[in-house]
Amino acid sequence: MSNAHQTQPGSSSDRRATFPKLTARENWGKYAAGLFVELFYGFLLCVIALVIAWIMLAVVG
Amino acid sequence: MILRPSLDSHRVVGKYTGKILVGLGLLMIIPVVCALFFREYDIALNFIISFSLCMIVGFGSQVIFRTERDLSWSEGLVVAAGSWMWALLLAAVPYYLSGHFGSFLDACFDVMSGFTTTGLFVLQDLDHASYALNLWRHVLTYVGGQGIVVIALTFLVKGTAGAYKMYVGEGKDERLLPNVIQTARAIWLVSIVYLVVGTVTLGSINWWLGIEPIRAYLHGAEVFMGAWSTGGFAPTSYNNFYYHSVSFETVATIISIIGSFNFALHWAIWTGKRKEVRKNIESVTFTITLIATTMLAMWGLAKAGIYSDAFSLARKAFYMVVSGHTTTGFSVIYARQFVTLWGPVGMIAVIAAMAFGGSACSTAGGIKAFRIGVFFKSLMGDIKAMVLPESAVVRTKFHHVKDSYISDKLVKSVSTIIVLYLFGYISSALLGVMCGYSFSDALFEGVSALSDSGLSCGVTSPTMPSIMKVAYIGYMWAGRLEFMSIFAVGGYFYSVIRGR
Repeated sequence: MSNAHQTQPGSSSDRRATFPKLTARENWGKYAAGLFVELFYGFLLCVIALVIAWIMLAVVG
Repeated sequence: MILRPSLDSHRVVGKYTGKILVGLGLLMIIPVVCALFFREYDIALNFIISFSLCMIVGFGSQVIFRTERDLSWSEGLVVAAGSWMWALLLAAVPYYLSGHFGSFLDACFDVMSGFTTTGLFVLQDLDHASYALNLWRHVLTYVGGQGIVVIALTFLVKGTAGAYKMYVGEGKDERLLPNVIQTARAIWLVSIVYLVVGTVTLGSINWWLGIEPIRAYLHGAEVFMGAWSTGGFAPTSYNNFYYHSVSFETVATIISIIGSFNFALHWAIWTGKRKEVRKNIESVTFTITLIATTMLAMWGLAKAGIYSDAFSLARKAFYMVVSGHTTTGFSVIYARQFVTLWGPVGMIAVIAAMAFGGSACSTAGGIKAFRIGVFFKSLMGDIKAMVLPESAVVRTKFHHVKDSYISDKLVKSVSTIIVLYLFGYISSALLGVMCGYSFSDALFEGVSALSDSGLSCGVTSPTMPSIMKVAYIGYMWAGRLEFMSIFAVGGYFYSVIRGR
């Protein structure tokens, strides 16, 4: 995916050169890091919910 | 004067609709293999019949409507919306033949619910449904989440110009990559990586809980598909309540949250722009509205003293609010408990969460975080302009993958869709009231249908009036395609009848 953003649609007759392979080996490290960031964001929201529940019960309950 | 579509226009619509129906037929190979694996031969035959119908209609229309012309904008929208209607009828055939539905309308209801990633269902005796039929329910919702057109773009359509118009017609307007077919493939790449990660995680938890391995991983895959596509289907009638597991519910919650992300946001994060998760207008808006609705629900439940400890309160309230906000529709309480246990504050919190919905260009429904964020920022900009000197020029900026300024055109399009959703929510509630349900129940279920959420307070059932089933099919369809494609189909048929 390294140079995909620099390509122009239909600018080359060589489609392989214009649109590099998404599953190229060098991309998987970035994908894994991105996946981890997203999972962490989801987990963080779960922790925030637990804190809110604790506050709500302390204040209202 | 309205122009009647030309013969060539019908041809190009027919050709591309045919390609999409072939894609739908190919998908039926998955439940056929599953049925043969579990020796459910009658069910396999049902799917082979349906597969044959898809191939006959799909290839038949490509042969009859042969043309080399590319799609125009209106034709792209018509193909996107029209192919959903054809797919609805053909995908309902194996449902109907299974004997789990009281009528073909009920089968169509469940198919539309699956395709639109809603999750409401009128299937009877789910706990005794075959493995293949259950898998088909989840495949429908997984595929519906990515988009039927996205499938066709990935595997069956060449060229870019017309393809992009169909892609937009399906309620997606983000180009992850310069080429729309590459964009479709990137969407599939993200989804399939998560399919593997989610299935292994959920399946392993099931195995650890004591479910036999094949069933554990099959349930894992099915619940993943329900969570990722924000569809909310689950393999048993107890939904995720069946598993009674905190770890299972936590993983399902996280997958639902991530599943409601914009694919452009996924792709930005996956390609190195990791700060996007805390800068993007959609993730910021989603976080704020999710926390606000969670606080409201927890306040109501804490005040009523329903859950006595923080862990139980977080487990039930956050799960249900996330389920509504991401428009997933998973449930860990019984449907009527919304009314009998949660009460008005809890219900309002979940209704608001469902109405807000997830992100644009995602598997989620609802108004969408992007529109809410832009609308709010635009409002703030207007207030700022009022208090500043008249000569001051106020330009409001937002960040979505890159920095952009809010234009009047953007605010107009955002406001139009918000108004259409609000009108839809109210009209669905009025329909429910006219059919004899209380306003709160009707509003809850109507918002759930139009936002493609799928949470139910008990209104949706096989005994629901047929007019509501038909209306909910329309609401789910309109909510998923975000109205414009539906208007394009209406305009197309009107111009066929009244045009010159």
